Amino acid sequence: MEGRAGGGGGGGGGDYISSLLNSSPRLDFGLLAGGVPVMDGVVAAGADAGGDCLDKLCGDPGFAERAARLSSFNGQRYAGAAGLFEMPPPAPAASNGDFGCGGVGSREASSVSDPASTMKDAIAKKRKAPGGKGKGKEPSLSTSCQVGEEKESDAKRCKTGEGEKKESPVKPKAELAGSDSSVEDGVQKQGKGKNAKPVEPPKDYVHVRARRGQATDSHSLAERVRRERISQRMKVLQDLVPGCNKVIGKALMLDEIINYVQSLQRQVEFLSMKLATVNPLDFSNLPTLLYKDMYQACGPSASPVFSLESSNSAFPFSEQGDVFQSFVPNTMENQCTLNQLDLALSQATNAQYAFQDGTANTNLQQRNFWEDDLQSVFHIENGQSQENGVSAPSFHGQLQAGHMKMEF
Amino acid sequence: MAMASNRGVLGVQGGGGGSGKFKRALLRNLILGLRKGGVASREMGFHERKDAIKRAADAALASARGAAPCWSRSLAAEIAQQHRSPGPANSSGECCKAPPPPPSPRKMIVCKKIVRRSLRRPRPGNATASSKEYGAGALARAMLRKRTTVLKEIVPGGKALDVCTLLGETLDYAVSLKAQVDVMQLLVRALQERKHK
Repeated sequence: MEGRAGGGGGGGGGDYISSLLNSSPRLDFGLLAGGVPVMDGVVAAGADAGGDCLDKLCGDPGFAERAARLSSFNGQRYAGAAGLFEMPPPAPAASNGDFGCGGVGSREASSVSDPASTMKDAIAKKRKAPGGKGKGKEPSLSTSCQVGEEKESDAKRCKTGEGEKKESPVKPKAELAGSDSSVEDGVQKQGKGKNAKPVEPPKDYVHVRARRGQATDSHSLAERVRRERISQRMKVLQDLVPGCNKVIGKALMLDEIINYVQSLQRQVEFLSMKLATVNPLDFSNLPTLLYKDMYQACGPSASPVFSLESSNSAFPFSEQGDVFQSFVPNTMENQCTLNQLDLALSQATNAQYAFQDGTANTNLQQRNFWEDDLQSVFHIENGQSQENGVSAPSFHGQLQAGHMKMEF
Repeated sequence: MAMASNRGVLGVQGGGGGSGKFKRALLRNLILGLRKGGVASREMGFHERKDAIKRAADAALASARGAAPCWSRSLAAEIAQQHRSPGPANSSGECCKAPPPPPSPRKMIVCKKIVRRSLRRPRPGNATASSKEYGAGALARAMLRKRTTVLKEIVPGGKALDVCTLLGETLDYAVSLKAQVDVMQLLVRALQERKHK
């Protein structure tokens, strides 16, 4: 039985592809009108392991689509999202896997709404133009994020492939048995370690390949895309929220996430109360004190850096009123204050991380916030004072704060 | 994980709480906001001061994050609205424009029609939508539904979002909140250290 290749792999590299196709006859593509990238991916999968080609083939598209979606998030970022969350420089030499996985977490949300909306449009329009549309998803994908995504996809490939297949019988809602898939696939990021295929300029369509034995009507496909998107975000959330790794299942994970966000909100309340008790709350002494402490430990701050930041932090809340515009003007006094506070921030954060490395786990810290906060503050102040050669702060003040906390 | 050793003096990476740049912006906004809020004055009572600080912190968070995520816009709208109809302690000299006006009645009617129409037409493939069965699937779905409702209440502006965007917003919100907590802890520490000298 010869593998049916829709279109015979037209386009560049057709000879190579057809030769590979002939050599691995067990592949059953079952699709029409596939473009070149599809063939590449399928072929590469087949060429790599002749054994369970079909599994890989089935596992591929859902995953490739996910990878493309992840890269679309990345692409959106590059396209000029607000980008207030810094990222490690996207050099391909850097750990691309981490970049793909970790970067997505903090940055994804900044561009979440855009891909979501364009994907919805794309799903709606998918049926209307079945032929020859571009292969790929969201605008401005850069090659470096391709590389990152491919590596990430390789890392997660088998696991998610199997996960996908298990998921489909569990969710019987929209899957009917039977019909062959007939949807084209325009996703490019297939193939193990395949690097060099350049992405064609992506159009704003979502191309989904329905797996074998699943319904192909637009509703179920749309639902599947939606479900995959949700599960992908749940995965990112799982990495972010401490303590979510042990939990399996959407409901329990949502519980953990809710607990985490609520605990953070409570911490903010508590800290604002703590700030309210600091009396007197004057800002004039603050910079001199911090400056004196921190100047010994570290060099003077780079003021051009900070002034650049202050001018950059634009407040696009023009419609929200002057409450925010009042933040903008910067006097010289503010600049000096904030430079020194900047120093304080770096110093204290470093110390904090040095401390947190020693703690058992962050989860515990979140849960037993009250005691740990007290202890950590005390330890850090001790550590800092030892560094700076200043006497340790008295514990009584801390204890009073602790008492107040108990009542609170 | 030698996090502290990799960083230079000013290259603060916040780790789980957002980047150093974001934290610096937060700290700056927080200080400015606290000054503007007149928190340093002695006339404020404890609760008023606490509320003012909290509002300043939220405003700092929302403005540092920008208008990109939905929650920050909603948070800013909430603060602006609170400021418009002020509590007993009003900080003088701050005027603010009206929050985004609610959709006109005509638009609301149209929106309701569309929503109702979409709900009435039974979605194909979702045969169990109307029937109330107590199977395991329905139970799981009910649990999920309950939790998404709770999440919608927690995340500012989450009520109008679908689950997918809600999760993305939650992610962003959680990271930003963590950064806010870190910055505030830092400030508290700095102030207490100063006090004890």
